[in-house]
Amino acid sequence: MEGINYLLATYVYASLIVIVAVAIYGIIAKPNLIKKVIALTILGDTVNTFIILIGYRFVSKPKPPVIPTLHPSPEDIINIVKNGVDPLPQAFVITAIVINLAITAFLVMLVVRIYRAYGTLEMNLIERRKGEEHG
Amino acid sequence: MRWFIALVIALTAVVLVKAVMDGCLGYILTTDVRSIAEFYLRSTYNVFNKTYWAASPEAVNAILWDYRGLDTVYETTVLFIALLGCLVLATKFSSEFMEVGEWLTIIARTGVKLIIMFIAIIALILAFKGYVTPGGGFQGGSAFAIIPLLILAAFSCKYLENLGYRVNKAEALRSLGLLAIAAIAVLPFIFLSAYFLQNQPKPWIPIGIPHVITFIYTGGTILFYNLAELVVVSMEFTAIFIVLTLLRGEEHGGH
Repeated sequence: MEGINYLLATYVYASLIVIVAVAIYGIIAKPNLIKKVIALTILGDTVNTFIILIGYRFVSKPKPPVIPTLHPSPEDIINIVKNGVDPLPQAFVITAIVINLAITAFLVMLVVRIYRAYGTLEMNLIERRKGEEHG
Repeated sequence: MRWFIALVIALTAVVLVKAVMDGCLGYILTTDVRSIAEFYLRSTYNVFNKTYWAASPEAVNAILWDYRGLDTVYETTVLFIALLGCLVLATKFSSEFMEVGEWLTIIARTGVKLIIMFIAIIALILAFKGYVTPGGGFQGGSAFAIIPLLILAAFSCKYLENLGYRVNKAEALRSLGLLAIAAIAVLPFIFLSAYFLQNQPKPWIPIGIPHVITFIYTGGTILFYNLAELVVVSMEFTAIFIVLTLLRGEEHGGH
């Protein structure tokens, strides 16, 4: 059981690191602004998954941090303390997701403004047209 | 340039691998949680020792609106300011309504109408029962915001306007939701000298909404925060979707 867990955790972490690398590649290398925004959202979601993983608990039956009854017995509370995953990263990730959404909306608005001004979203074309305007 | 990009990505990957292996990003394969998580799990619905309880069987909502409520308040502030920025940037949107989905068949439109009903039910359940089951105001609001998006895709902005969705109205409703959150959080703090965002009565400050009203479990103030947040989030995203759709209709002014 321990070995399988370790293998699974390595796999998850490795794939997350690969996704982070892909997202950073997208942010740096793609000339299209919309593609940059998409890469940024991918980066944000991957980091959120990292944070969720911090709170995960490798017990035999991990439970969500919810007490399943409105009239709990002392055993229910002991059970959730022993087997529940960490609720704090989940609360933080909710906050992060909502702020991510708001920032993405703001960035999309900025992209729309840039498209209105220059008629394109390619970074190199925007640079060239800026040069034409000033020169 | 290409070599620089490759170098940056390789460096990021190496640093992340090192950080994960050293445990900088949290413990891997741990069977314990931190003591603070244990405190939250133990006291969130501890009916036997009510000193620090939040009256919410779901620990995430208890943290969001009780233990770390200030975080959520400032997060809502960030959301408010970000959307304000969006609307300021989009001052010159066209008043001509685009007929987006006019070509869709009657089957698609009827399907959308049916699905909208279920989405509304799911969103309301997520928000109303956020303190007992996984869910909450943000999740319910995000689910509810899908309704105007679907209407925009299948019908048109004009149809949405006829249904009563307008940017101004959405903004007004959102402000009302924010005011409700502020009132619940601040008014007891000012007038009754309770804690800011106080949920359940503490032994030394016995102020709070009872967690059971006749037979309805409210989770203290958490239910009301969730409902207000449902309105805030859904109306914010409705406004953003409408503004973005209207922006699509405008020709770009340059070159």
